[in-house]
Amino acid sequence: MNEKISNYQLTMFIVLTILGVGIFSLPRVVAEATNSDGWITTILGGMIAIGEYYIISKLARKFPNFTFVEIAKEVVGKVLAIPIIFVFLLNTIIVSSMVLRIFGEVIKMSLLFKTPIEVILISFLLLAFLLARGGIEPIVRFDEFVFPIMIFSVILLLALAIPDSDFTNILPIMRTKPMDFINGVMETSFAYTDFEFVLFIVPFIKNREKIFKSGFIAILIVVAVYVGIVILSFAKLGVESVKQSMWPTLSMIRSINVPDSFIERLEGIIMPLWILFAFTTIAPSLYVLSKIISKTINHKEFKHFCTMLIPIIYIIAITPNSVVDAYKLLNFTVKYIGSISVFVIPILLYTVASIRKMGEKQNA
Amino acid sequence: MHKKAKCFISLYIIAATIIFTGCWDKIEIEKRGFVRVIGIDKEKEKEDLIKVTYVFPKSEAFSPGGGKGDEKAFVVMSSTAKSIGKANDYIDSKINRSVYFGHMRMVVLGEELLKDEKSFKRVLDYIAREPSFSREIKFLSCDGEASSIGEIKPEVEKILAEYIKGIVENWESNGMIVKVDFNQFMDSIITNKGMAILPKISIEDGKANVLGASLIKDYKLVGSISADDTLYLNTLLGKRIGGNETIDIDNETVSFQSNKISRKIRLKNKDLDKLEIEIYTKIEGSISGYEIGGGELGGREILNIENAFNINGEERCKAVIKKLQKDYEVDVIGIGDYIKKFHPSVWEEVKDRWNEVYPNIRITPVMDYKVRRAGDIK
Repeated sequence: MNEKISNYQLTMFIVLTILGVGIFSLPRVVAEATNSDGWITTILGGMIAIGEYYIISKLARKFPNFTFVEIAKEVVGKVLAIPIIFVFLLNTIIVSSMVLRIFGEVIKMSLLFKTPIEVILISFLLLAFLLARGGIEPIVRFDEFVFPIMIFSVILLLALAIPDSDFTNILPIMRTKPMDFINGVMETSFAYTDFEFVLFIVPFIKNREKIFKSGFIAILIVVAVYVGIVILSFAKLGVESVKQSMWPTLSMIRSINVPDSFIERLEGIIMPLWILFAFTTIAPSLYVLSKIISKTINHKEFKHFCTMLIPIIYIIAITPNSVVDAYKLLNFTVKYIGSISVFVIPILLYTVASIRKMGEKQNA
Repeated sequence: MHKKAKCFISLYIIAATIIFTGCWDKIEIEKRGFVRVIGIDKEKEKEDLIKVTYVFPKSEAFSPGGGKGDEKAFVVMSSTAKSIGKANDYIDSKINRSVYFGHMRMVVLGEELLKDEKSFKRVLDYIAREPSFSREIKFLSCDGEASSIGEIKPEVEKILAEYIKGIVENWESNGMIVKVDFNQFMDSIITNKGMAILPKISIEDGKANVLGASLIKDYKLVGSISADDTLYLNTLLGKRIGGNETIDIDNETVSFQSNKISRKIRLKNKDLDKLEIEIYTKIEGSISGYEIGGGELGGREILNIENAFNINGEERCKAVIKKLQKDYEVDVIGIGDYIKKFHPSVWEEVKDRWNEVYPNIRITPVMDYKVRRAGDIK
């Protein structure tokens, strides 16, 4: 293993890390905020994510041989770095736990009706653990392997959903109040988080000059997938029904009618494939979390923390009483802690590093 | 890789396959009671109760050569309870299989249920909420009691669901059945606060007849339109494909069969007090009946025929619009939807008092029949 990541692999890694369980509820989130303008806010939210990613990639290129923890320690000193790292850690741990929980709930509702949710969560976590403890290279190799499958299944799904859709449902355009609109764009930009994991894999990337370009392409792919899903959910279900639906994407998949019905209930085929989406979000999260802890306390072996994290994530995941509570916790975390860790902290670190004239000089 | 790690991983995989191959969701197909059609009624004597009628196909009906003779290929059962979920539980104690809605085809709603707002809302909520419910289902409203679906003796087909589904799908050829799928129905109910249109089935002496449409407003059945009116409603909706129209022109009977339609709505007058809508429909088709020996169909005759059909079509459409707009005040043509999507600034003004505005809008249908073919005879 040479522990090197090519830029293609980086693109796939970012796409699959961003795409998680958020995709199930995204049409509802955007419809609640901006009605039929939801697909526009989805695009603009993606643009904001690209802006955030730009700052992160700037920061990463300043310190190409460091991970986030080392950057923080270097820039603001060991003591001040601790709260910054803690915020980052808290965000990642809660978000990945909630992703796990919501994923479990979706699986329980649509595939495994009688299997206890505990079993779904634990077996899934153990599987993710197996991948995460292998280090970054197995993770990106896995991403490389599933990426074509996922893109193919998404395209197939969107194509099959087109018949019996009313595309006038995405009208009227731009009739939302400006404040609602801005709010909607901010809400949507949260659906694009997790690209901050790049800060942990920069030392392994072969061509560090191009990390912005790779991430840019990755986020564009995600925008395309999201917009496709949002538009088809609107067209298939209607905006008002999307607002009422817990997981509109799931409802949309369920209403796909294959001509001549030689196959009924397509979700039985699509859902198992979508397990991979959650898997490629949780495995990198586990990896990143254990990296954070091991780097913070200067322990060489991150794998040990990987094991320790399993019970913690499991307990956080199982704590919310219901799906509704899990969503509340997730939204709260992403909104307040998440925006600090992907937006405020990178800007802060970058500014301080620039003022103190640290890091490598960049020519672009 | 170290030997230890290899050993660990192989042990892990073996343990995982043993421990995590879950058996909770193992279900034998023989244990599933596939419901293909349900009928839902409101119980007459007792307030608040609904009666659910389930139609299970017999398993031998699916095997080749199965379902001998005149025997019915399905089993009909019913139970009465406060909710559909409870009714399912009662059925489970009457049949050795467990009710499963995953392959549902049809939900037939009884007349009494549609007239009772509370029960109807409860039923709709269950159907929308229950994740195992197939979204390929079609809704039908029933003249009289929905439980009478059990009395139907399907002809040509063996399985009741396939039989009714086949009839409903004939909307494409005869144009007299409204086409409503699950999402359209639910979205209409949610968006328009309880307004929807449903195809109507009437059952007499074991014969099913799907004709016309029922109109629902404020979660209540308000009326229905006839089969002929439905043809023109489909025309106004731009959903008609087939369907024959027959009229008399100069003592000769002419039939026209459509095969293609395009529809455009236009807001002609944006003045809020005098909103004016024009629905322009272009219907292409062929002459399907004339009188034999009635002479050659030349350019002028065709023009005449087209004109006669235009006038007839406009009159019939006006009658349908009057019924929907003035008598029942239901906006199933989607005028509100159109204004909302294409003239949002007008919609902002009228959306709060849409119920008062809608009956006073001037809606003019403009028909444009095009005879493209004339069959095998000149």
